[in-house]
Amino acid sequence: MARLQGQVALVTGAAVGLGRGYAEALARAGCDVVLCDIRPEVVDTAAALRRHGVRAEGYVADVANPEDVRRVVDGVLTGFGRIDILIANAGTWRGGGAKDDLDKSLKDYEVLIGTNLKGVYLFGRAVIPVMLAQGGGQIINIATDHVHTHPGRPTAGGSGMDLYDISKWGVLGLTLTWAKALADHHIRVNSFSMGATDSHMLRGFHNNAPSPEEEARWMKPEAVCDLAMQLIAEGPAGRTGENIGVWVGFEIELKPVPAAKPEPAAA
Amino acid sequence: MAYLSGKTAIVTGAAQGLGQAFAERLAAEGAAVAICDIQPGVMAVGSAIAATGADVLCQTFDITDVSACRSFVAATTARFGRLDILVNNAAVWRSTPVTDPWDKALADFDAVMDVNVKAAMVMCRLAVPHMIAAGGGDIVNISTDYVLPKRRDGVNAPDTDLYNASKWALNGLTDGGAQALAPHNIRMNSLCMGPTDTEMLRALFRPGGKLAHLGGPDGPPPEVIAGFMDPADIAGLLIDLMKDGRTGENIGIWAGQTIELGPRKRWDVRMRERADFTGQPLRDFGPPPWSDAPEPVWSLAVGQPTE
Ligand SMILES: NC(=O)c1ccc[n+]([C@@H]2O[C@H](COP(=O)([O-])OP(=O)(O)OC[C@H]3O[C@@H](n4cnc5c(N)ncnc54)[C@H](O)[C@@H]3O)[C@@H](O)[C@H]2O)c1
Ligand SMILES: NC(=O)c1ccc[n+]([C@@H]2O[C@H](COP(=O)([O-])OP(=O)(O)OC[C@H]3O[C@@H](n4cnc5c(N)ncnc54)[C@H](O)[C@@H]3O)[C@@H](O)[C@H]2O)c1
Repeated sequence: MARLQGQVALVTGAAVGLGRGYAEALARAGCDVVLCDIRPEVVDTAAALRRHGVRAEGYVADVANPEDVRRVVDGVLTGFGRIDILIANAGTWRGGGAKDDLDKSLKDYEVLIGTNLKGVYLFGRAVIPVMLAQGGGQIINIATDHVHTHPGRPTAGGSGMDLYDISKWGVLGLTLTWAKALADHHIRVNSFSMGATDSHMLRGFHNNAPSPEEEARWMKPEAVCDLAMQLIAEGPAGRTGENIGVWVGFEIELKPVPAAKPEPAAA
Repeated sequence: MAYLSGKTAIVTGAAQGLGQAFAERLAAEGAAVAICDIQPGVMAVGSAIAATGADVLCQTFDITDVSACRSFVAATTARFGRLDILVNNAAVWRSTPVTDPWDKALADFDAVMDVNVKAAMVMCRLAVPHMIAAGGGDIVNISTDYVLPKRRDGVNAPDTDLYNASKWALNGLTDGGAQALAPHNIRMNSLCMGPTDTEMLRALFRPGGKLAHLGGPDGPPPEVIAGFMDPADIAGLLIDLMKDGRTGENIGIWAGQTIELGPRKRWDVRMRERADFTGQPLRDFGPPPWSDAPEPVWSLAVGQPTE
């Protein structure tokens, strides 16, 4: 099922966790992959993907740093000549909230908005011109189910992570806007809003000792990564501007593209 | 006794437009107001409000200057003894097409996010301890109907990704804040309005603005202005919102419709509403059917009733 031969994908935050999973799934589908991460082991993660017979490269880079972003994107262009798929996945989490001390919040803001929102923005803005010149491409920005909750779950991230939620709502704003701006240029832009998925981050969140019940609840990264592959497989005519909910306890699937809402009748 | 007598309110970006209207109305309801803006014109706004007999504190500074924010909040509480209301209104709008050069893209991110998001967060963090001490309070973040559209085609103009993202981001501030602060009797909501007659909007219709083809040297023509909402009416809704006591909501305010709070929404209803919208596939967005403009007028529901 190697369907993506000849294509080049860029996955951010791909040393471990879900990012690594996306890169693995892409490589298995025959796609050349470029990975970046602040973790130096991203180089080894990339090397391991070559067993699938694809070209794979790893960059140590901070997605919040414009120079790093340019270095990665320019490097991909030099080495691979094109970028067909971007998965802006790098993300980080820290707790905090409205009652935090300002100095703590300013530090958290730099980290959370820097990585989760600015990182997505910078990679999008660096890659979009490439895709425009190529005549098409696909972008998946990774948000969280806090910005698209499943039925019956009333709240967003709760009371203790407003800055994380700010960063992810911002990602959604970028997705919706880019999708609209690029719809006529065959560039599809969608978001994933997923709930708890087994990853490096989530395990850390549970002090690397989740209870068996907890662990059993989590979605499997393979399932989420497979969903990304299904989204990519829709090809140039596929959906765009959609914020796809991926929820614990629900079928992990792409819903059929909903029919247009009827025009509201004039008053 | 006036509704807000004995209370203190901060309004950011109050030199003109909606911020000025919020400050005037809060003062008229009896609150002492502390207002600020990067434009020195805020001093004249302050003097005019003081002339009505209200207590006013006025400072000119850049809201992205964190230490200036600290001194402003400190001066406010030193002068009036308490802080009850914060309106995060200051914002910038920038045209940021995705094809912009890299250096502009970098500068724009900080320019838009620092005012529209970071400063709002900073002001919240500074205000909350005083509101807890006062036994409660109201924080209102000024967003846009882009994040709560009444019509499918009026949202998320394609050439302002950062402005759009900044206002979507405020959902996180309001959501998280409302939940964290509810036990302290502090409410946090967002006002999400459509086109309102302010300098920010009029400037778009002047030569060089993105809607210049619909305007003239003086900005929008009268028939277009007639479709804008009046900042004073939005300020009236701010008062209604505080009297109502709800929290954690995005309040939609749409041109051509009654300006009203509407029924309270449960948490889950509110979240579904957002999710349902964001789940809409993009290619079903058509150009606005009423528009004769040469290009789609994305954000202008000019005087068109939508339901
Ligand atoms: N796992 C979940 O339950 C879950 C749920 C919702 C959303 N998400 C989102 O999915 C994405 C992946 O998360 P994950 O769970 O795999 O986390 P993870 O921590 O396991 O992996 C994230 C990767 O991003 C990298 N990274 C962090 N900051 C970076 C930076 N500044 N520059 C470059 N790389 C950086 C990390 O080193 C790590 O390799 C994140 O955006 C996260 O917010 C995860
Ligand atoms: N007018 C509309 O149609 C409309 C629609 C939706 C949302 N809004 C929102 O309403 C709010 C008020 O907008 P407006 O229409 O009155 O715009 P405006 O431009 O007339 O007023 C904004 C004020 O904020 C001030 N400001 C900007 N940057 C600042 C900084 N760095 N430090 C201090 N002050 C700063 C400006 O000087 C100005 O006085 C904004 O948050 C805007 O996004 C307006």
